[in-house]
Amino acid sequence: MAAKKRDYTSYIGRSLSDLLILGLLQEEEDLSGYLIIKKIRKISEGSIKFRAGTIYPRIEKLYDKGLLTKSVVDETSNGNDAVRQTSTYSLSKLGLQRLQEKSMEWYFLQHKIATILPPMEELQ
Amino acid sequence: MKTNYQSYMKSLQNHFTEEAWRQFQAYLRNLVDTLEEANISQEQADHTLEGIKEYILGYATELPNQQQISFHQALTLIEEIGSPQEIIRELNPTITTDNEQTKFCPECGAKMPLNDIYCKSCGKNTTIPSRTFSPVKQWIIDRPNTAGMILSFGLAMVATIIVGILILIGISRGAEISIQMDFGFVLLACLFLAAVGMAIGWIINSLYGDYISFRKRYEQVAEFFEERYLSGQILFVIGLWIYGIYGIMYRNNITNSYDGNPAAAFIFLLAPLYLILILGLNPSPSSDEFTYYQLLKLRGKSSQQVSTRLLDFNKIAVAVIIILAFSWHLFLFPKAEQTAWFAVPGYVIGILALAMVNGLYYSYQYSWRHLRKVNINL
Repeated sequence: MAAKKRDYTSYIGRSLSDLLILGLLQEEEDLSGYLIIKKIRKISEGSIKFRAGTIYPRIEKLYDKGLLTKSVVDETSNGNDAVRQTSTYSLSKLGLQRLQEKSMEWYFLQHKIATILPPMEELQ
Repeated sequence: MKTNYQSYMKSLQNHFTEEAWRQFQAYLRNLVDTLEEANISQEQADHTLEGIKEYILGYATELPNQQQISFHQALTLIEEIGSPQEIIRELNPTITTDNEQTKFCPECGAKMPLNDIYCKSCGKNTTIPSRTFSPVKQWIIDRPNTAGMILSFGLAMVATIIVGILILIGISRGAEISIQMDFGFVLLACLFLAAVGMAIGWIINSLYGDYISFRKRYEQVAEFFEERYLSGQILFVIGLWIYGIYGIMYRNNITNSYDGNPAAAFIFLLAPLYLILILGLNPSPSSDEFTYYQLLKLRGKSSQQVSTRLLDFNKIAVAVIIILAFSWHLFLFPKAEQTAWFAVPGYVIGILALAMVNGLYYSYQYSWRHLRKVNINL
């Protein structure tokens, strides 16, 4: 039985939020906070909807910890010549290292949880 | 917090339509208040607000042809950004907040359940953008010592009312008023008028609207003062002051009769003339920084025309009542020796008029939302 398509964001704690941000930035560099939120929402098909009000402080914390690098780029609006500056983030070396560690932990935990829960095929 | 709210709000406002901005501004106000209440560190609060700004600007960038964010898009954005409670929980998990999903009324900023359609505080249908509600004025950013101002204002108001009542009781019981006392009497009576009017407006506001719910709504209190003074009350007092001076001159036989005395005629005409001039030429800034003039703004170019016309109504009513009061006084007391009590009927009329105008104006302005609510529910 397929899991219901709904918003699972409340399941996501701080550490998993960090992991997802790091994971996304490994796939794609120089993403703004706005794009991080949009892409995670799109990839998860709407199951994980980070809130802009909460995710930016998390991103800044990751940056403060040296897990991300930040650069300020100029951005133009559609049909508008006005330029505004926006911050984009990429994964640092330390961030990549932390991503690998945390991913390992996550897969390990996922495996352990799976051993406790009933097998997928038994679920109706 | 270090964030300069004025420039912060300004940088966002242009990306929203008027209705959408009202909604979003109410949300931001509530968020900032919640952050302050929860003692979130300045750094965290700044990151949050900057993040929201980035998100809004990112969203606006994707809109085609420089479109502004619409009302419904603003609602979606607010949901995407998260309620203040969610944000607080993220920033400081030790703080327990209610789990209810909330949104904020675009009219009055009151918190309400996400699924509610009508605001319990002001009755606005929060799902339909409306062009008939008065604008939320520019947020007073710097918040001076408003609590102290309110306290001193309240004390002065109560004291003036007490003194005014004592004087009126004294007069009604036959107290003599000397010529030397007249000046002070006029001053006190004028203050009394203003204080009574303010008190009535205050009470009515408290009953009918949330604009005068002082707690954490200091910007609206500031608006209260602003509207009070700019909407004709001071002019009303000035008019009566001139009326009083004219009466004193009359009583002191500076002039023996009104007819044929150019100086007295000039003073008599001065008050309404002054009122008309001031009312006509006084510019009034609006919340969208569009400045218009009192007489010219009768044709409103935006949704603000409704509240604007209410202000006009108030001022015109005040001017008419002053002119009627002058005429009435001159009709009843044409002779110099009869003006010993000139102030009493004038002031009684003035008090009643001011109270009535204030009451009508404020009860109308604030209860029309309730009336609208009734209409919606019907």
